Amino acid sequence: MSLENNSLNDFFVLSAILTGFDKVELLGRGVGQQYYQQLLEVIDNEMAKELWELTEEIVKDSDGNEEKLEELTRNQILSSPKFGPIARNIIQMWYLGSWIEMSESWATQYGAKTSPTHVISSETYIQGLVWDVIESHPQAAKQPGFASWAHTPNSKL
Amino acid sequence: MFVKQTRNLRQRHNLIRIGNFSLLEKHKIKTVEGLRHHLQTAIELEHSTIPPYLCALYSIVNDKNIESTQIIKSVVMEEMLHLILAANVLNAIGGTPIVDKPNFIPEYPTYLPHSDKSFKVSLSKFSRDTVETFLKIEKPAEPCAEPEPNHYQTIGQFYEAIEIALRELSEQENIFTGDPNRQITPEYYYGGGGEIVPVTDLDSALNALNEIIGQGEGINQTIFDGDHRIFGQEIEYAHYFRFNEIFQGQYYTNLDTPKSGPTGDPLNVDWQAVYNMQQNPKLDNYPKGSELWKKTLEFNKTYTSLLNGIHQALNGRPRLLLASVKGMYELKYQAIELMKTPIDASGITAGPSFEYASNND
Amino acid sequence: MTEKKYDVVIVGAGISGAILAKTISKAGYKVLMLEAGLDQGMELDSQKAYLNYQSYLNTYYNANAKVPNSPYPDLLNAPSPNVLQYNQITGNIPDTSGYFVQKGPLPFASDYTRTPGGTTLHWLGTCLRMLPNDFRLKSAYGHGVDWPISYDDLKPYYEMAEYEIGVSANVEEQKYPGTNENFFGKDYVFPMKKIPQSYLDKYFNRHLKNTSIILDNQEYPLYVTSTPQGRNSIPNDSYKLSGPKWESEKSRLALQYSESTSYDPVGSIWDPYTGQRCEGNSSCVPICPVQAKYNALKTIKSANRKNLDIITQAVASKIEVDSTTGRITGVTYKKYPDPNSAQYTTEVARGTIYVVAAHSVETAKLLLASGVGNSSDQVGRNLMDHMVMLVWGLMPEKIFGFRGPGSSSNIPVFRDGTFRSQHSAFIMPIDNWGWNWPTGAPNSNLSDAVVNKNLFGKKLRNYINDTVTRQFNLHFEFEQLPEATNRVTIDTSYMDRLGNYRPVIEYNVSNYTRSAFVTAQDIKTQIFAKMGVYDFTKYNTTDSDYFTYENTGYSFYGAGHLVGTHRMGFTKADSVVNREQRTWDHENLYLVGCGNMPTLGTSNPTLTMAALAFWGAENIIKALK
Repeated sequence: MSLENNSLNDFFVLSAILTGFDKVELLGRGVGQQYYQQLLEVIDNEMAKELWELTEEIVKDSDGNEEKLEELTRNQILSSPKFGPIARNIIQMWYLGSWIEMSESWATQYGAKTSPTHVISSETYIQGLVWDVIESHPQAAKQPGFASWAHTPNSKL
Repeated sequence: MFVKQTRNLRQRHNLIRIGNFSLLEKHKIKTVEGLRHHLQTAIELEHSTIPPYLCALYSIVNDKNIESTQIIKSVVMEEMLHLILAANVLNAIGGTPIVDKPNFIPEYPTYLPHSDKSFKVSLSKFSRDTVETFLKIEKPAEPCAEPEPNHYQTIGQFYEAIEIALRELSEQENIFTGDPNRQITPEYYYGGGGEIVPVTDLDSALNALNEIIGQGEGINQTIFDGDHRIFGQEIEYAHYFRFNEIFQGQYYTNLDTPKSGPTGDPLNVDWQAVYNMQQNPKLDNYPKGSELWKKTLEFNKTYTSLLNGIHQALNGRPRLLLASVKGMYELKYQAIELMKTPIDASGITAGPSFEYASNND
Repeated sequence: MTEKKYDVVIVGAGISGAILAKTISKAGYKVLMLEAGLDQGMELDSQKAYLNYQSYLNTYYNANAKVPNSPYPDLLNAPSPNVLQYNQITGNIPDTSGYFVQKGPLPFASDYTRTPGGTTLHWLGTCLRMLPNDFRLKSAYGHGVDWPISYDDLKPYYEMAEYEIGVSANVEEQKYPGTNENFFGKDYVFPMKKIPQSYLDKYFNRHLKNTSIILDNQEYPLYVTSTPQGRNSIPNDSYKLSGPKWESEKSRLALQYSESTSYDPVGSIWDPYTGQRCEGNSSCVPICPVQAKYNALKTIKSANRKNLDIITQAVASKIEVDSTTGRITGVTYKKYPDPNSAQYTTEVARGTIYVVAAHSVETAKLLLASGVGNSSDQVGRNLMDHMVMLVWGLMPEKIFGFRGPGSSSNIPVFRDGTFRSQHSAFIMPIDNWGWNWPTGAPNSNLSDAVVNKNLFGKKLRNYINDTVTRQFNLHFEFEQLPEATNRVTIDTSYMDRLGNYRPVIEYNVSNYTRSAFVTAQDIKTQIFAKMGVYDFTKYNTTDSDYFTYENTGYSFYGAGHLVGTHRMGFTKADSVVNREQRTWDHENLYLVGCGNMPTLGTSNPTLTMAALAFWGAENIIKALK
């Protein structure tokens, strides 16, 4: 996968802001492209482009100030009736590996399609960030080894 | 996995080449101290192959090349077993295995320790070239090859020199003076194609060595390793022949010999279903403090901490080997994340650099 | 076509059928096994077994709801119940939305799996023996019935079951009420050392040590014990037993003792080195990816395959009986070549002795459909399950759940006691997977945090980390009494695609059990107070199994412990099988499985079922002699 594609890069930039994970951490999951494609099945290129431009704008406007970035993201993306639901779905994709069906009324209003709630792929289930955040591992994958559960997750030898 | 059905194997005692001591006097290991030194080398040797094997293994995209994955995985597990067996022998003769020093880790690309320097080993993704290098690493000794403690051509020669020294030195005195509590016993090790042999005397030491030689190179010009006879395990092929199955894209049958090559069912290899990992990645490739630098450092810390844990396990706290399993899994997950991370527009990805991370990094 | 005649024909390739097939085939008899599930599920060759099992795993990964049956094939020709398909029942209209036809008044909430290996593919693996008083509930406490066998009768067979399943536990930690040092016997050890208790178990133990529960002025000192489990751990050097063998000179089945024996954990069916230890996949229910947890395919793989034929995609539909002699003459089955088609051929399997090992509901159904074995009118009656009441909250500090086996410890204090004359006994397993069961955590927490709490970025991470790592769930499993009105019946109005009956279920919970919910809530309140738990327990009137008792509402889940539908007993009038597990009505028909259990006790029933299967195998071999 190459990030030459600017839109894909913007998707990662926005994903990093929304998830609280670094871009490199997200790249390391290896599933970003699947999420990007899933998103484009629901919103058209024009709407996507608008979102990427907005992302670039708030990154530029916040000028490396994290608090400012958070504020701008909340005000301009999460509070937006148009982009808020998408942003919340992007977070849930990264954390759960699933696409969550969006409301019919939102889709109608913004000319988007809907896609039923589903696990995007085996790999996205395994790469869900929620498991890392709870200091565990996805059930039935990335097993930590015999007796690991008898100690705190971060305990070393 | 995918083990073949058993066929008649030679008796184990045939495998120990009594009366075949052709080691030249000047090349012999003559003292216990020298023997300890060579066993430490054995540990370093076994370890040196693990990072390259792991890179190839982890570079295979999840769920692809299932057969090749299983083959490489089984070999890696056996290399780990060999490392521990060599440490058991070293501990049994009163030595001190060392696996936690910075220079314990080779700087890749590297020649194998004490080898004849005919080829270098790299950290690289799963590819034909990589598997070809693995074949060189695991190349069986020619029937007439002499035991050779230094500048060996094959690993078998090296171990045979150790075996001879064990026999000869223990004829002179009891060299098995180590504390038996330092032995790694089967309860602390599992999952890896063979059995841990606690070493307390010459017999158990020779058993441990034969486990290593048999698995690595095949026994007496067969393609089998020696496990079936001794441990009643389902039969497995020695490393060289397992890698050759991948290289040739074909399984061996029970009737095949080293000469015939594999003549069985095709083994499908998809050389494309592989992360495009940069060869021999280094921490210093990335700007200090960058996200990739941090992630690579994090990997190296996991690796170093794993070695530290194994070091303690091999030095009187065998129970810690169980705890190190967690570190091995973490190592895997972190390595794969690096391999999924592109470093430039061409699609080449980062990878595990397997470097020593000191505490102040 | 000439039909091959077998010594024994077994219907069902779950754990009971597998134990019979292995034991009897190894004793030298020819065995045929019929299995309703798919051909590929029975693959025991390394590569094919691996690929089939990976397909289960992938189905699980991709399932929206990761319920117990989610990894396994959903077969129209041999349907299984699914916990996603049960609802409140209104009035007299049965709920027919799932495989079960639910007549209520409460829906029956447990499932099972019709696939090679049976429900052991998704069992949790808990291997508790039943307690001595569980076998004499009527004499001891005036409720239910007594068993025609005692704990001591079953004890040697428990040891066989613990060998076959490969149970990990430390004997010295197994302290149960109403038992003494003879419970395990002198020098007994389990094949493997205990599965390490979870970090949260140890936290729990620290905080509850030296405290008591007070109920009606009576003090019950609390203690937490490690739970015996059918999953691989470190072998115990002192275990010197190997597989049960038919000893013809002594005419008995017995474990073999030898000083030189050492126990080797049984790995996966595709690779002996995979699954030699539990690796902490935290997904025992519904699937252990490495098969460190026992499943019945391991037993089938180790049978004497020369003496064992297996026919899969073969659904038994009728047991044929000679009306003059009462002897069974064959088992008619529908063999479907294609799971996607309703086409089948009808075949008959013939043997000297017949065994139905098809799961308590399916076995009862088959007997009813065949008009066989039911002179007592007990077939299908006395259906029991453990009612599971969950209680959950947040601990004051992080306890790091969602790791390790589903449960590695339990509080056994209320498994036996004089209170059983008033209300049900219960066991209290401590759960390791946070609120996964009650609320669908962690996914539900994440969605709630994003959608309702409007969190994102680092604040989202911190919030999820802080709350979910403190999640804690404990549950109560209540014993249910055998009641004639809790039953499985059949009705020609309800058939599956192959023209076999669907189970029709009538089910309710009596006050003997309902009143135990009250006690349990009291215990919960006391424990939560001792530990400083922020209680989040909430039962909704819309929950499928919601009931009120003394003006308070409770919800329960099924435990998957379906027991009692063809019970053993003392006389032809009170039971379906005798103590040898032979039907009273047909001298060459045996039944095995949880359906034989007259009462439920507080043990997950698989271990007891396995012990009974060895007992049954021994009796069948004797009968063949």
